[in-house]
Amino acid sequence: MKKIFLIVAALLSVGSAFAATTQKWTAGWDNFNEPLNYKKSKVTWSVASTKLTVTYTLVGATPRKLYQVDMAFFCTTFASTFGQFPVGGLGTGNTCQSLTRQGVTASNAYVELCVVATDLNGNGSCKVVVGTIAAGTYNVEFRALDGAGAGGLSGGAGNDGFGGDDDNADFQSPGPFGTTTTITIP
Amino acid sequence: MKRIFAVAAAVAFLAGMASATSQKWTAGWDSFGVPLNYTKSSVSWSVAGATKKLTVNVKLVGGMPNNLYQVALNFFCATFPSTFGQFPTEENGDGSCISISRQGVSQSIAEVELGVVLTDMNGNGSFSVVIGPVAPGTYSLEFFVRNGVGCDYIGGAPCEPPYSPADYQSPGPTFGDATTITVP
Repeated sequence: MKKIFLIVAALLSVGSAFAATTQKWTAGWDNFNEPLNYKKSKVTWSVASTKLTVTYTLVGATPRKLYQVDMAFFCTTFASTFGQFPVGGLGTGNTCQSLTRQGVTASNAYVELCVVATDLNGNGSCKVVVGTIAAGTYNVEFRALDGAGAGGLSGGAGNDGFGGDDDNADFQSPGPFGTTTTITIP
Repeated sequence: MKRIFAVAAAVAFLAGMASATSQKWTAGWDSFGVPLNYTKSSVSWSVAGATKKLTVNVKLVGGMPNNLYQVALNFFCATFPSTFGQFPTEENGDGSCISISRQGVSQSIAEVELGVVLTDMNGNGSFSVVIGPVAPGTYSLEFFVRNGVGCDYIGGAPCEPPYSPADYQSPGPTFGDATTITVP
């Protein structure tokens, strides 16, 4: 009986765990000279039911710097929320806004998820669980921005105009601009 | 034999795990009327003696929505090293701690900025960091959360008043109420 219980528990555990996908960062799409150890840095994400877990890891970036990390959705229209987070960059009728970068024009909406604050070595990470997310197929790029406060958040460089370039993308994944990852929420 | 091995492995595993201490937030020494669900919010920490690493988990519930908060440590000290784990320390140039007064209390402090909590539409957010290796010692400190980010970081708002006030402290309720953390 004990063995059966253990096997059932193990199967349940495996069934509820979804394999994570790990992606590398690439430079840009606004800044291309920000330092980063591209071999060791990564974005990892996984979907479990209607929840998306994302971990952003930066290694060898600028020491003691704030990098706001988000998801850029490639879309024509988009919902006002993504899980528990508001969606930025939407126009009238929730239309996604056109942007041209790296010679590619596409329409986007953005969701700001967390901030990587690097240590003395330029290393840092942050993790977020997003959900409940509406079922669907999402085409996204992950970004790390040059500072914190973009996307209408309070308390950062974008507040009151400090910094000025905090909505510029230092790193993208997968990249280049318009090359997306497909995330399916069942 | 298998059972003995399993028990030994479990004991070894448990011995390597440090039990976490969970503390509540209280209102900060700069701001006293800002929202937070103090019952559900917490800061928890644990020390792994073998690796000399300090893990800190900050949870904010019912804070300001879509808001950036910066998490920091205030060490109460006379002198302090220039780094705490992989993080720099803010102190006087000669290594002495900085004298400040809050809530009618004067203390000498050294400050370490750890990272950022970004809240969602409901004012909820969390942040985890592993600090280390930390120099062995007994540290007397308060955790606190600033409203806004940028103190001692590139890419945020200014650090000077009225920016980045301390909204929450732990243990509190008064500046100088300290938690003792021992790193063996």
